[in-house]
Amino acid sequence: MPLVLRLPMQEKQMIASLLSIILFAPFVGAAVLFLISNDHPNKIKAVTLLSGGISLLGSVLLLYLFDHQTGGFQFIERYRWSDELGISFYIGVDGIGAPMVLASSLLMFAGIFVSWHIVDRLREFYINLLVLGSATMGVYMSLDLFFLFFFYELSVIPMYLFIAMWGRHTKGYLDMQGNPERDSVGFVFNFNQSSKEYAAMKLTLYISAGAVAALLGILLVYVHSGLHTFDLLAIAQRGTLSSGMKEICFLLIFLGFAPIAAIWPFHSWSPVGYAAAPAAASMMHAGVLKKLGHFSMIRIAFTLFPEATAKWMPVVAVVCVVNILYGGLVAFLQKDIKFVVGYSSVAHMGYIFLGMASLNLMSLTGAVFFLFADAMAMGLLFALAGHLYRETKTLDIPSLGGLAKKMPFVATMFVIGSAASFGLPGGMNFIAEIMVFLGSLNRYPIQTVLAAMAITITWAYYFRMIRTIFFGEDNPKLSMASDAKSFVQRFPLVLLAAMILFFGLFPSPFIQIIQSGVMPIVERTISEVPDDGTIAKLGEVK
Amino acid sequence: MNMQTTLGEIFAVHQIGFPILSLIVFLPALTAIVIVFLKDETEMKVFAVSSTAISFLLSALLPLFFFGNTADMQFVEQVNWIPAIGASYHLGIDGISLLLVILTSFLSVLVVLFSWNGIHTMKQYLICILTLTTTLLGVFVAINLFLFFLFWEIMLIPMYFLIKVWGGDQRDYASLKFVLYTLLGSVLMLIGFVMLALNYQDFATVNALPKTLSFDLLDLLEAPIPPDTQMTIFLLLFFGFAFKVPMFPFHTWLPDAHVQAPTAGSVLLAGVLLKMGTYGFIRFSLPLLPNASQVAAPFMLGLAVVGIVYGALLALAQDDMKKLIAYSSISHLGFVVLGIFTLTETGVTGAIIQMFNHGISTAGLFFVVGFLYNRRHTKEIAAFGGLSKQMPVLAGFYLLISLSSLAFPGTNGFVGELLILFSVVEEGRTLYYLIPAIAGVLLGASYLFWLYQRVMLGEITHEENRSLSDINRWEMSICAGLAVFILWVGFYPLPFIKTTEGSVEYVLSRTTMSPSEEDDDLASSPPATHAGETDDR
Repeated sequence: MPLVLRLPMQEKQMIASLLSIILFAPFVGAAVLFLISNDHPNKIKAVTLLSGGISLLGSVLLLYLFDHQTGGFQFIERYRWSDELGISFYIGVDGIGAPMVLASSLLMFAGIFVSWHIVDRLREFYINLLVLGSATMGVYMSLDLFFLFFFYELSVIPMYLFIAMWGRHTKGYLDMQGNPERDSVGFVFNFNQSSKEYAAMKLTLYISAGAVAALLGILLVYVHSGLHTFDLLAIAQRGTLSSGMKEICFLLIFLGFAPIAAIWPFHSWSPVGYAAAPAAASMMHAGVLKKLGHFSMIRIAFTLFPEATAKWMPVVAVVCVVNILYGGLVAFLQKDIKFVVGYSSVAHMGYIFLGMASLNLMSLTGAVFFLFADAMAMGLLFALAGHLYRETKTLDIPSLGGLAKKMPFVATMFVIGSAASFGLPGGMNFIAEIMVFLGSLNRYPIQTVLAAMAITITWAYYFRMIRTIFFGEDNPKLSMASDAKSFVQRFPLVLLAAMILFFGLFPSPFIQIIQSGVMPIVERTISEVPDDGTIAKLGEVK
Repeated sequence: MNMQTTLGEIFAVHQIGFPILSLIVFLPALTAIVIVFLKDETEMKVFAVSSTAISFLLSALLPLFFFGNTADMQFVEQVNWIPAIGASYHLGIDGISLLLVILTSFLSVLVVLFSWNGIHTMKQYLICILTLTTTLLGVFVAINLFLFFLFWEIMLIPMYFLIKVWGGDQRDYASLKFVLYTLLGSVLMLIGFVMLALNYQDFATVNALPKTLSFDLLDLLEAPIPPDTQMTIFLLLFFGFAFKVPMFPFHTWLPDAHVQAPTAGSVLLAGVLLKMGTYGFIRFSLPLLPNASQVAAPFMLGLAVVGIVYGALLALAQDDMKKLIAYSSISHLGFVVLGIFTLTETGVTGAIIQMFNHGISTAGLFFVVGFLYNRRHTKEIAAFGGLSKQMPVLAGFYLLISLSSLAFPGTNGFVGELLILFSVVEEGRTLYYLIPAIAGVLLGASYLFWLYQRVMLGEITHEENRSLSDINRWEMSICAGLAVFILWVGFYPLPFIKTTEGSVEYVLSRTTMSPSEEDDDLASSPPATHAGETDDR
């Protein structure tokens, strides 16, 4: 096995503990918030902004300083935590983690502005947001399986609280299903299916059930690797798992992270979760929380078990088409803005899985780029949904209409966000999609063609939504609705839209960074898989 | 002998000294950004009209510096953009695109002039028109397929809004139908492009070329494509282009879109947008997929003549002026496809000329409908009649435009249609197609004359029509601009035809090579050598 997971060059890192600063600034901010009472909203906002801002600046710097020519893991920090158990606090980013850290801190920062108006338990809200943001960043940085899992679990708790405390009761889900009864989750906990408690509980149960499987997989790896360490890189290089055990571990870990990645048929929690959550939480959820699933699969399963990955990916390539088609068609039937966007996000996960399944440099780079691109587009759309909900008190598409005149700025941003999401050239998603197609066409021609044709469905429901909300007939009840006027309202929207357009038009630096992270994983998979020609050729692209 | 020469590139810096194509393409879009910040409506309109006019004047410079006898890409600009997926910012024009660039920038000036008054929310309207212009121009100058697709898709957004916001009663339905139909075609086309890029990748890997992945037309032309793959790609691209043209049976979105679109939208839609499809056939399908083009030619010719006759018959049956012109477009574009797939020099030249002509004449017809609609707010044919008494100037121009559209000798339409019909005769195998084509010409004359008669001639049947005013100076300037081109091409088409020579010859040099000959070529030339370099031996 070639030693492909290159170790870092410590001397290049100019700022000693940049990752720790990025990771812990929000935690410290959350701790400080506990000391401020809810009577001083301005102080609360100042502290939150400061800690979120430090984190954002840090992650921008991180990406800027990241050396894509060296590749490998950089900005490594390692502190011993428990030698007996082989656990250390071990963080570092490669070309896959670094962009996602930026995505998390960006969405967190934007989320702070989006939640500016909140009055009810503001302090607690911001504490949740900061914890959620840094927990996701923790996953993207961890090189120790124990801490990766720790941060992963930590991210679920704020999400639960967000929905249960600041959420809204949903509608539309029921109408669509034509079924007023309760499903199993609703039945057991005696929740109405349109209540926010139901959404919160469903989300937690799905993710936790997956987490149990993933944890089992991680523990099996720990026991059978013969190294007594949770150090991911050490296991990857020196681990001695039997091939049968590798396959079991792969399946456990893949299935464990499948629910949060919303792969069909484990997706049903996610649109309900978005719909019930407050805007900032939906943004984080769709933008970065969901991507923890894909990321963990790549980081753990792909890195540790290349043969099993290559063996099982053709199955994923079939399932992902179901994601794309089913998610798209269901989105078409929805009447609630957040459900439409939510199911479109489910459909988009299919494209990411298609990219992952093809296992070559081009498609996997495309998939990782997609993770970032989708985070920006979803962040923008959910921020806008939040604004619309606040102004009109409803997200029911048929009862909205003619808003383009009342809120031209929001309408423009909504078109940009939708365009990015349905893959209009010029936005980031398009670059990602075409990379996935380029990489997958030879390997999975049928799936790729179906996936490409499904873009039409995506256009259809986004256009229909835009048309009704912004150009439909005026609803007199909405006469009070006003545009995003203040700086606080406009800033997060402009920030995300600017990211979409800038990296959509100039994706090259970004792609180089991602490729440096994807390359070793692809090389490893190829070196251990019988060559089928296609992969080898694509591997040469440098 | 090796016919399959590679295209050279003549860079803009050498040819004219500054990046003229970028200026032409992006000037309207930049103006759109400026307009966002303007408050005064007149200022906006002045900005819009001057930017499109400058863009047109610049494009009028192109033929002065253009070399007509070569197939090389000219005024080329190239910047690396996203090397990882082989996308570069690569612009250039040749004989296929030159006329279309001029046509687009010309029509955009007229469209802005036409919209001088009576548009609600002028700012957004102008922004839509200007961005649409940029994307349309971009489609014709992009040599990189990725960039081409970018413009091709973005074009849908301003067009959607033009129909959606400023359209007629059923604009919701029409705008969405337009977007989804063309989109369905273009995602298939995208897969075709991806297959082309992957094919180049194989070729580059085998020959150890420095660039491994490229969407660049000039690179793709060097990589031979196996006949089976050619067929698949041809089919995929066919959907993209056929929806746009639109060819029978993919045409149903067109009448809806036209009827609902505002005049400016219809003009750009019929004048320029439809040409993107036929342009795609000449630019991509023929040179990149020569074998498949030959195999598919009979089917394409068949669809073309069905479109000609079918479109013309439906045009006869319409009560709405715009719908009539929309169906006539289907018929006329059938002629263009017919010319392309005779695969003769006369035919392809005729098709290029006819694309330009149809742009001028159909735009003219839609402008006329727009003038009448602004005065009467209806497009029903029955609401008019005997207008020539009230509007003699319009009647004159309208007659000229109609004549051009029905290919009357001395107008531009005649030149194009004659070339195409001539090519059908010339190529013996396609002689059968002459009969329906001739029928199409006759039907064309009937529906256009009949329309003219019902609208302009006879007695005034509606009292409202007695008080109509003739076209004003603005409107007259639009008609005059169109008339110049109609008569110029009609009486002295040689300069126009000359520009296309080199490119047409090149495109056909690729298609006329038989498959076996091509295989021999490949086998005999050492892999590392480019096809172009073997000429010297």
